[in-house]
Amino acid sequence: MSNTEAQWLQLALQGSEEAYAQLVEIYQTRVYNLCYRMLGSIEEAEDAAQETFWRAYQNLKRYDPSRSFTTWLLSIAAHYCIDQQRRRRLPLFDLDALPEEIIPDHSSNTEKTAAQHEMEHQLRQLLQTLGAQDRAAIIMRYWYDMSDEEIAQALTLSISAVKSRLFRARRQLAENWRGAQEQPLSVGGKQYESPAF
Amino acid sequence: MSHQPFENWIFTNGLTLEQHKALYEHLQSCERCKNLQNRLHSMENQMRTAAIIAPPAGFNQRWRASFAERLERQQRQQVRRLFLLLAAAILISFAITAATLLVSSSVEALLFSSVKTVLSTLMSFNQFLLFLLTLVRMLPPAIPIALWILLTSGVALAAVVWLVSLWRISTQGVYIQ
Repeated sequence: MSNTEAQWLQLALQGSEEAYAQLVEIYQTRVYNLCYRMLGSIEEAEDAAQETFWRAYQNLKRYDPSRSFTTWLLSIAAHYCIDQQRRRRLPLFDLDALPEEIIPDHSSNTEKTAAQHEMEHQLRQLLQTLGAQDRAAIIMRYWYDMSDEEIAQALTLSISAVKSRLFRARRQLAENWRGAQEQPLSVGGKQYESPAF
Repeated sequence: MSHQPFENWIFTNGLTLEQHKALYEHLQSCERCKNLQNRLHSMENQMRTAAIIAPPAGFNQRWRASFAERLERQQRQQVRRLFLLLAAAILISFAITAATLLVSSSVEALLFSSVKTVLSTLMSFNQFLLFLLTLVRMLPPAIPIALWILLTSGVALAAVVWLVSLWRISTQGVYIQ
């Protein structure tokens, strides 16, 4: 965390709404990206990110300054998204709608952006195959480089539970991953069955 | 060919040097595990290089607008809760008092004492009014006009402040730090 961020945080903890708005400006992309990767829809990600910042604001007094503020915010976002997923049960991924940042730009290399679009599409489909908590753990690991300890703290899990979730999720993702026009790999018998059987 | 424990090792972090060596040797001869490892690396590479998606432009403006709205809603809820709590407290204390009185004395005695209390209150109020009237008749010559103006202005100001406070609490709620 930079000095400016620490100062905004300090002021926000003292009750400054303007300082908190500055923190929203700083952390919006990190929070929004997690929500988008978790929920797969632009509208839902926006709502989830707004809700995350509101919940964080309301619980600001409970924030422990010895912890990372990013981890704390991402933890709130992940819990909210997991809760949303549980409520709706059937994930409604908006596969055709892509955020502005990755919509193909016709002025640039069309092939490259089409490939990027395809890869993004595949990534979202892959993430969709995971359970909400596994997905949160994977997103935190690959997009935010969080350690097992940080993920455990953020998702309120034990470190061994995180390790086992990551192991299972990585295996599932690797088996379903279609690199260059490959078909999904079927390891052993059933997809999630242990190869020992 | 047995793929265990190598298949699991592909997805395990923190292997020992011996395990690494054994896995490496196995991958030289096992196409399936090699393929699985390649998939894992390809997938991990794709995820690590995938874009961080930024929210649509104007997120902070939308946050500020929704923040003000949520804050207002929360304050209204707080006021509503406070009034409900007060009403509940009054009702409960009334119920407790009524129950205690009914248990400790008969209905006739209660009615008699209630009528007596109401009458004595009315009489006390009447006496107070008489006292005020006497004061008003006696005081004007003794108190200068300037003091009268000051007193009435003070009372009027206090009434205005009280009314404004009531209006603010009912429309904007109470902000608790």
